[in-house]
Amino acid sequence: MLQTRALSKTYANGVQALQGIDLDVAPGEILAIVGGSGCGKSTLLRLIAGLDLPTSGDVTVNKERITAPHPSIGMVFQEARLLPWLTVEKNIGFGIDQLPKAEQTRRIEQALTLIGLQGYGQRLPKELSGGQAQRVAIARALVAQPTVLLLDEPFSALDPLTRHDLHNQMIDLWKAYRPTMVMVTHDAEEAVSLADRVIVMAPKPGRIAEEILLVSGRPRDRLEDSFAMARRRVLTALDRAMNPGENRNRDAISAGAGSWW
Amino acid sequence: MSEAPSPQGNVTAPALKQEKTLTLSGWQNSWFIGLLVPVGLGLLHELVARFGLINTRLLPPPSAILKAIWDLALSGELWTHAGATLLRVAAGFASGGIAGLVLGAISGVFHLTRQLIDPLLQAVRAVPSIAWVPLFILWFGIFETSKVVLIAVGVFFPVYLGVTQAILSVDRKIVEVGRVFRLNQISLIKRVLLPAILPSTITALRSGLGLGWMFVVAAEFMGASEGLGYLLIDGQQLGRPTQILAALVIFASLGKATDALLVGITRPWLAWQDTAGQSSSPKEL
Repeated sequence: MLQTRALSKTYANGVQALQGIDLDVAPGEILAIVGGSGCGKSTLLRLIAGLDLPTSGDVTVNKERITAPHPSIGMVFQEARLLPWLTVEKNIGFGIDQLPKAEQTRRIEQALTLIGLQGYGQRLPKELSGGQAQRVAIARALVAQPTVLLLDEPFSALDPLTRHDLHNQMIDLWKAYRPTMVMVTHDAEEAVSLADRVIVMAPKPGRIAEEILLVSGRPRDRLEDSFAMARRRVLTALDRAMNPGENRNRDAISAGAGSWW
Repeated sequence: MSEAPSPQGNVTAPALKQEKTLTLSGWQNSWFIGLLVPVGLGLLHELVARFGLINTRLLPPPSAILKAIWDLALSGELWTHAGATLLRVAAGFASGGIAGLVLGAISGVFHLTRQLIDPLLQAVRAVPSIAWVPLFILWFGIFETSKVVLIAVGVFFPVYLGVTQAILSVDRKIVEVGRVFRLNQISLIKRVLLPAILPSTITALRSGLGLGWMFVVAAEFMGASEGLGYLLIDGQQLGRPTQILAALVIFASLGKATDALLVGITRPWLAWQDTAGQSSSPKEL
C-alpha cells in the first residue's frame, strides 16, 4: 500500500542523503526505521510525507504518487509542534476544520479519551508536560484518519518512563485507528517494542542495510528472553551498518542468535 | 495518566503553591504596588519642602504641582493642551503605525521586496528624526501636518522593524505543520503566521507609541500655540517651573495610560504566551 521505488535524494550541496530505497509496507503494518545519525532516516520520512521531493524514484500510497503533503498521510515530529495559541482541543482539530462541527467535536472527544487527556481540552500547550504535548500531537495527526502515519523520532525527547508509557499508548491508538505506521527511531528497544518489522539503515549514502522481522503480538513483554534477543539482533545489525568491517566477533554471535530466533 | 509521578512534585509543590497564594498574590500582582515608590518619593519631597530644606522656587513640591494641574483643569486649559497633544499622537501613531505594519509585512514576506526597500529604510532610519524638522516645515508648513508627519516618522521605524523581524523569525517547524495539513496560503497566514507574529507586533507598536510621545514634544517645540509641549516652552519663557513640572506629570500620565490601554486591549490575544514575565501557570501533573 505504501511503496517507495529506487528513491534517491541528493541535496543541493552534493550530499547524497539516500540511494535506491525500495520499501513495501503492508496495510496496518508498523515499520520501524533505525539507523545512526546521518543515514537519511528523517529524509526518507520527509520524502514519504511529501515535504521534500526526491531527486529520483518515487513514493506511492495506494498507487497514488506522492509529490506534496497528502490527506492520507499524517505526520508526527520529534517535537510536539503544537500551536501555542490554540487550546488542546483546537490543536487536535487543527487539520480537520473542513469537517462539520459535530463530527469535529466527536473525533476530538474520542481522541482526548484515547490519549487519556479527558478534561484537558481547554488547556493551553504551555500547561502540558512534554509527554502530554506529544500525545496531543499524535492525536492531531490521527483525528484526520490518515491511512499512513509517519513518526519522526516521536518519543526521543521524553524521559524513559514517559516514553515507555507512550509506547503502550501508541499501541492502543494504533488498535483504534489502524493506520499503517512508519516510525523513525534510534532506539532499538523502541523499535522492538512497537514494530512488526525493523529496517536498519547504513550511512553515506543512506541505504537499507538489513531487514529484521519481529514476532507478532503486542504489547510485548520486555522482560522476556525473546525480547532481549530481538533487541540484540537490532543492535548488532546497527553496529554492522555503522561500522562495516569491524565487530567480527559480535557478527558471529548475532549470526548464531539469528538462527536461534 | 501515570506519567513519572515524582514524589517530590506531589508533596512539596502544592505546599509551595499555597504559601504563594497566602503571602504574595494578595497584593503583589495589584497595580497599586507600582504607586508605592512614586507616592513615597512625593511625600518625602513634600516634607523637605515644608521644612524649608530645598528651594521650592526651582523645585516646587508635589502639592504645588498638583494645584497647578488642578488650576489648568478648572480653567479648561488642561483639556485644550492635553487634547491637542493626544490628537497629534493619535494621528501620528495611526498613520506611522499603519505604514509600518504594511511595509513591515511586505518586507517580511517577500524576499525581493526586502532586498529592495530594506537597505534604503535602514539608511533613512539612521537620520536623527529631529533632523527632519527643517525639511518638514518647508514641505508641510508650521501647522498640524508637519507635526503629525514627524510623529509618524518616529512611530514608523520601530513598527516596521518589529513586524519584519517577527515574520522572519516565525518558527519554520510550525509552518511545516501547516504544510502537512495542506493549508493554502491564506489559511497559513490566517491560522499560523498572524497569531505567531502577534506578540512581537504588539511589542513593536508599544515602542512605536513610546517614540510617538517622544516626537510630539519635538514637534510642539518647533512652534505650537497649544499642546503640552507648548506648556513646557511657555513655562520656561515665563519662568514657571511649576507649569513645566505639571506638563511633565501630565505627559507621564498620558504616556503610561495610552500604553496601558494598548496592553489592555491586546492582552486577551496573548494569554497563550509562555513567558517568564507572566504570572505563574503551574503545570498539573
